Amino acid sequence: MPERISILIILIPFIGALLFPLLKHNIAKYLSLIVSMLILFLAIFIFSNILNNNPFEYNLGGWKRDVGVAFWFNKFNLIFCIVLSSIYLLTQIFFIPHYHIIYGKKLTKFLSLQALFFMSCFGLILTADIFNLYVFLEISALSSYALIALGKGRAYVASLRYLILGSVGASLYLLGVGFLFAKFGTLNIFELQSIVQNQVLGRSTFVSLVLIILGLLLKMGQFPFYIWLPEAYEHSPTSVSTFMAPISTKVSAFLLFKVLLGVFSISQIKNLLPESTFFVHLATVSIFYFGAISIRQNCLKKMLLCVLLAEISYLTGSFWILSKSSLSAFSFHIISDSLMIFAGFVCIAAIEYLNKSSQFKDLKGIGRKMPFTTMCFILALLSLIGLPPMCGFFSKFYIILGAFKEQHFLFGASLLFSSLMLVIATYKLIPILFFEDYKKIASSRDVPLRMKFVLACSILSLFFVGIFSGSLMKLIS
Amino acid sequence: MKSFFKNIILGQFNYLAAVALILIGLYAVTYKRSFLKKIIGLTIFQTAIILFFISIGYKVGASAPVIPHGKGHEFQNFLFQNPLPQVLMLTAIVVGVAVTGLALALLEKIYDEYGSIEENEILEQLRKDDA
Repeated sequence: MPERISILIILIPFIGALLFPLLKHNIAKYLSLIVSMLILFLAIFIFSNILNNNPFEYNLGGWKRDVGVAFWFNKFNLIFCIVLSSIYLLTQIFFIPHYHIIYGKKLTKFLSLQALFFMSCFGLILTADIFNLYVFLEISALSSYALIALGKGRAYVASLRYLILGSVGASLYLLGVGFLFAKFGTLNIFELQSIVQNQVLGRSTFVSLVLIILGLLLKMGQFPFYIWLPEAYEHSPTSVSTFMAPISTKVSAFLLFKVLLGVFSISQIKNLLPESTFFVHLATVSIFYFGAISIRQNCLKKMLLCVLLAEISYLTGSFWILSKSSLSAFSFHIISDSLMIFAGFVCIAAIEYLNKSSQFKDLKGIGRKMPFTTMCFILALLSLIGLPPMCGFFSKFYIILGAFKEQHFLFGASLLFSSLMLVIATYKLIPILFFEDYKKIASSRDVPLRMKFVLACSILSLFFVGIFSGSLMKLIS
Repeated sequence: MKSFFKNIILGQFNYLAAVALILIGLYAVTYKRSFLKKIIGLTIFQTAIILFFISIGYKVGASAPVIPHGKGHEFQNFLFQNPLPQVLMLTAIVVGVAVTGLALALLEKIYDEYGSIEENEILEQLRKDDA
């Protein structure tokens, strides 16, 4: 039974994306809420089935994996799916009553693009076919370009620059896939793995590896290729960046893990790329850089984006250490980081809902106006810094542990440095938020109850993942 | 020298052309100032990859991968083109068209907003807005 219906995780949002533009605004709005709920239940259902059984494969149309397209359902994939679908549901609850104020006539188009974006993210996580992965990569990219462009004005420029870089990245990935296909004659990850296993790998495999890595690093927004990321997420509508910023970079990071380690073994990658520690040094440099500039920002959104860029480098760094412990830290950090960044962005969205701006100079004394929201934001920051009961501490702890085991002391130190910088930023922020006299704030109300509910959920999830980090790590590794 | 010419230049002409086109595309994407030229470069880049994939599947003297039946259509030889790269590239072409379409739509919006499609002029305007 769970095997049969598992593909619905991808099909339900896809059908939704096709339906929404045809429906009336109010119907489409609540239908998209139902869609997000259905996916969450489905993901939890399949996960609970897998928990005691073996992971399984879904062959599309009944074709075997060497001919057709296969989807792979294992524990980590489904945990990631559950996280994504709960982010989907929470954004829907948060924004649904005032979507029509933001988008007007474009509402159904927005809902359709959003469903398409989530569909392609689920596809990226679950597919076991490297060409199918390219298609999903492009669908997710196309929908995110269009979603960012909804911000109007500057967002058009940001979106076009993102489009150019993103398409180059995806095309490089496709070229790498072409080399792999020409060499080994199959596109399925497991088939490739079984062929590659007993071979001495030559220069063409090296080229394909480099092309795939370059393409995915471009998509991730890793340090030298990050230029598109801050402007794209800053100028897009808040309701878009709330769900897109935490998800899309993390999904690309997961692809790096999936394609490289799905096909090659760790020792093969080390043989092919003897200089793989270069990426660790790159990550170290970028963590120092973004840590240093994060305290100079004058806007909550920009500050959080700096943190996001540093967190991406944590992922790259811990991936390229290429040891068992650092790789499971990498997987754990994908989950916890999606939740932390989401919590941060949801708080900013709540602040912007009343205040229209997240510049520091407009935020004076807002902590006394909306204490609950501000406390949630401070808690999200504390989790990013690494306060023990929350998940940020554990993911940082595991990454540093993995780094020290492999003698990458500077990389571990850079993580501590970025925590320190964030402490300073928070220390600067608290007096602005709580102790200064507040200026005009348009309405005297606090945020609505449903927003508080979403905020509470997102913060509680940080505690939840933190407290159960031990059992989660066991599941992942 | 002659065998070099025959094997490398003629034998792998498709691949050399693909590499040249990829480099031209990348050059246009990175060095051209105009967004329109960047989009053209992107299209060249994607087309070069399509050429590369089709070359992988090509065999000299092979027929289309269709099972022949009927009079006068008997099996001539058992060589077929590899159909998989061609099918993959159908998808890639569709994706490329979608990307180009979206890019041009965005470019039109940018032109309406800023009256220019040159990247440096637009960035200068943005900087002025900030100040």
